[in-house]
Amino acid sequence: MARFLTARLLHSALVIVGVSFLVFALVHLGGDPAVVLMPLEATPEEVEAFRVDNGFDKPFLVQFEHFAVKAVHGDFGTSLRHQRPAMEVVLEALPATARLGGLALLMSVLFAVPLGVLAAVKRGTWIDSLTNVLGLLGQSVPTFWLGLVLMMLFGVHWRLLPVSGAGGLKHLIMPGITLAAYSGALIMRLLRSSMLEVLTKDFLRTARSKGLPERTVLYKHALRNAAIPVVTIIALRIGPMLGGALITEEVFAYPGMGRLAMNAISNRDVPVIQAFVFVIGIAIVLSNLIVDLAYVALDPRIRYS
Amino acid sequence: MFRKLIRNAGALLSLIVLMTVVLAGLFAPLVSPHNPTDQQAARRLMPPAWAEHGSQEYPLGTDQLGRDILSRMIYGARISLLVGVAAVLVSGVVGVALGLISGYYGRWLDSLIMRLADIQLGVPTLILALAVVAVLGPGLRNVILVLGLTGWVTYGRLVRGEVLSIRQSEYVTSARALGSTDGHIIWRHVLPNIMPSIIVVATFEFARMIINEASLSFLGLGVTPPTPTWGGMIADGRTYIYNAWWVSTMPGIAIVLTVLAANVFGDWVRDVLDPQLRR
Amino acid sequence: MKTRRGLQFVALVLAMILLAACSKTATPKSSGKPKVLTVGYGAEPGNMLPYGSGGEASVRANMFDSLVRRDRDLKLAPSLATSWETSQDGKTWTFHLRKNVKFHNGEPFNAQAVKWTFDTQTMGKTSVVKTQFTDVTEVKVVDDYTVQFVTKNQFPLLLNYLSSSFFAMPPKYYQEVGGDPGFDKKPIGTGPFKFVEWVKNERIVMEANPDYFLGRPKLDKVIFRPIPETATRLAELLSGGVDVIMQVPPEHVGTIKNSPNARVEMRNSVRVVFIGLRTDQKPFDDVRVRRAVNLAINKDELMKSVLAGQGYLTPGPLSPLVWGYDSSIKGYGYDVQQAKQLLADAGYPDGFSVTLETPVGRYLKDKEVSEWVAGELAKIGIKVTVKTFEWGQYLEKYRNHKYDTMYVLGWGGTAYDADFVFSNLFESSNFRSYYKVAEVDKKIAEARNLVDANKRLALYKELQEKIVSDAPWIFLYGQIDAWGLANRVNWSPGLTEYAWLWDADVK
Repeated sequence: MARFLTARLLHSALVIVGVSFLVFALVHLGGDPAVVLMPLEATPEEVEAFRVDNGFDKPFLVQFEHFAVKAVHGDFGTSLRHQRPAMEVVLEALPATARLGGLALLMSVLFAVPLGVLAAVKRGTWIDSLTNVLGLLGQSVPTFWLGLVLMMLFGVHWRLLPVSGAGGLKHLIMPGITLAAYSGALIMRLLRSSMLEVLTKDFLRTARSKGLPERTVLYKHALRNAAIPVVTIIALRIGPMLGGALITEEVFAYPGMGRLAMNAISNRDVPVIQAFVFVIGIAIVLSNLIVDLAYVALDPRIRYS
Repeated sequence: MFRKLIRNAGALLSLIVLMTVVLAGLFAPLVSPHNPTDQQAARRLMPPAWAEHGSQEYPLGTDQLGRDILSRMIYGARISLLVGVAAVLVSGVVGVALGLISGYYGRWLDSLIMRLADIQLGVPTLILALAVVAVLGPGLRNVILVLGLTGWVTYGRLVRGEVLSIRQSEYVTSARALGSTDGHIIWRHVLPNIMPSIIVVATFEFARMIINEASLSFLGLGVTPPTPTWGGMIADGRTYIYNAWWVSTMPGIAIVLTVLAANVFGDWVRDVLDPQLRR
Repeated sequence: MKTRRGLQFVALVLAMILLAACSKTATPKSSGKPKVLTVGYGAEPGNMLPYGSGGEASVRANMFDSLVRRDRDLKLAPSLATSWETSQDGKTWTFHLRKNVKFHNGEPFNAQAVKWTFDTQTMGKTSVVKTQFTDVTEVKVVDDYTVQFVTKNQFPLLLNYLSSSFFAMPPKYYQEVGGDPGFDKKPIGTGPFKFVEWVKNERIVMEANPDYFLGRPKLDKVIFRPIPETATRLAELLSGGVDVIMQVPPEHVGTIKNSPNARVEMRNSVRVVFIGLRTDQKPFDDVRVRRAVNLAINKDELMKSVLAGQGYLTPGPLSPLVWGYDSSIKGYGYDVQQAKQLLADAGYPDGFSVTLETPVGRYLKDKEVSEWVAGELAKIGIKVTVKTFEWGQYLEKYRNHKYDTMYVLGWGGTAYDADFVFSNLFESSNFRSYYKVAEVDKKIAEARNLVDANKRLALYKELQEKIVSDAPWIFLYGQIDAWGLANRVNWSPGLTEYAWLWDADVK
């Protein structure tokens, strides 16, 4: 196990370097920061001066080396747009994002797991049909549509919830539901499908024949065996929920990292993009590590050689 | 099988819906009531026929430039279905293959493929898309490329997780002991077991790809206006949702119906093909 | 047993969420003492440095003052300077400063502060406005309340640029807080409102400056909230969450008008939207073709339908809000027959194929306008492919002189002077111009350095006539900005396109 973890940490570091390099290269291919950041009426000389001042005239690899050397020391450079340390800009947005993403993940799991199990057990009944419809809506209703409709109903019509912005728990409910809808639907349908598989297996019959109560059979034995795909998907949704909740954040004017990243990308604010990618990279690497460990907990036969 | 299909009304209905959508798209010039790009100021934002001020002439209403929404949806089916199916196929085939290799063979292959997946997840789609536009230029092929590239990870990780567990199951170990080849084991024992999960994810991705095509087209990557797509219509109608809901809702309903039909039909096919689940 | 506890936990969490949702929901807008006004706008500034890139005028204007300011009708009015005069040769401008003005931290405002701000900030390394002042050779302190701006030649635009791009900053404070980083955390100006806090991407809060030189603002507090989605801004206005929303799109105007608690106010913007033509290559090298495309577009219908009234006709390259606009200029009407005839005369009886490049979401309904224009040109046989671009990639084409054949651009600015349009868009040495006419170049250069207003006006009249006749653009329209205001707001926006809230009040 220790060897697995050591190797894994090493590989994770390589992943972060890989992502940084790739993103650096892709941004470089996608356009020049000076072109975007200078005002429309700027002269070509001013644009060129900006380029030279910020080192954008240097060859790509030299720029990357310059960035990497500083990044190793924790310095991601100064945001071109905000004129502040890029990492500070990103970390400021992290708590709000973690709150919304965490709540949405919690909501989707709390909603999806009981319904997914129920749908499989009561296959073919009205409960199954109901979850089918919910899942369908969750997967195919555009995020902004759901967000704006919720907002019109709860925010404007009934005035139960604040329309947008951040503040208390109240501000999180509508964006939370909006963000959770897709993941919740996916987890629910996936769980139903893998539960259906598991329910036909022999070991459940064995468990039942031992006289275990049905609930124990379902939740302890069956769910445990059906959980692997669900756990995989939950972990996969962590990255998008932190960094890719752009539409939800825009619709609800929520001060999260998705909006920040979007602004940074539109402005070709390379330092902020890199700091963002670093933070998200760590979240992805960690969540996938945790999943790999969770697999072993769910199915002790799994070994990583 | 055909008789079974008739017996199952839901499956039959869903097949009809799917066929209608596909055929309408294929024969769009023949079946659409209007030219999808014919704009006219006088009939902007007309509501659907059944609503007040609606007109039979434009059954589902008109959009912000006065174009017939039904006709645009019929034409839009072409690109949207193509993008949805192609992107799901590309990402699905790549992802399932890599996931199988990763999970079944393990060791350094597993590490390599999964860390590549981590890198892929870490790169924001928007950045990838902008680079593709800048380097490869616009085009439908590149849209599918970007969607496929960003989509494979979900299948890859999902398949690999399940294979890790199945690999150690009794029937696989006994098959191995009996001297079955890896290919045989994967084909006969592993793949059928993970198929249900793959199908669930594929239908989810299908809907998402159709919607996401529009955001890539906004970047100049894909389809140029005024060519209609469902995703593009939904996105264009976004700001009209409070005063002309039909502009973005109608193509949204088209996606819901298509996905519903695909789900029901997919379930039915699986039930027929997978004898385990039949009771 | 375990699962029951699980279910209980679920129920508990749901109950908590519901409780939190329902408690305090009916809190009415406190009718108590503090008068707070909340503004919803599209995007917040990148930083609080008045000379940095990405500054947002509404936030800046309420905290900082210039020597001269634009009033609500765009007339130049005294601000930190109470009066000014020009020397005989037109190269020295003397400003008499307002006395007893203090920065928000108590530091006195005087001639030294003006000189310091100009030398180190306006012309500083990171300033994005410094090219506007390249004609200024020196700022002289005459006495505590008199400064002189010396220019290398006659520079008629000095007041224009001072009003839009000079913001007095406190020299002592700036040095005490360690320059830009410290100043960005707590900016200090002389303006009607003082900085309180900035929660990034969520709100910027300011409070009234009781010592403001025009008198204390009526409001106690102002909050600026960035709300990128227009539909959300609308929902906030309708629900009473914000009091003023900016950049209302045409489709929301009716909804606000129908609401019992809000109203709409329209203001002409100086931004002119046009379609540039590559006059240096086929087919637009032929003036007949350029005139034909101008005649082929029914602009009235375009403004009525796509823009739903949020556009006004601009016959030539200038908005009437710009100094130098000549009202006698006749533009192109709508005449498909004549357009077809011109195309045939030019040797394109069956039209041709071109691309029209457009940003998405940069200008009001830009993509729809492009689609519309493509549809109109199709009627005279020109096949137009519309290509949309992300703004950054569009700028790449803009700055590198790489537009294909036709491109959508909007031009506004805060100079409000014809020179800002002609120098930037029609002078052949400029990278933006695909149009190269020696006679035009000469007139633009001549008008730029003339203080004599009448001579300048005459030159600009000739220039407008020539440009309209040569038609290097498809002249379209000027934008009209719509503002949504809650009825409790006692204020109306000026023509300046930003929200200066000194005179605003709420019920």
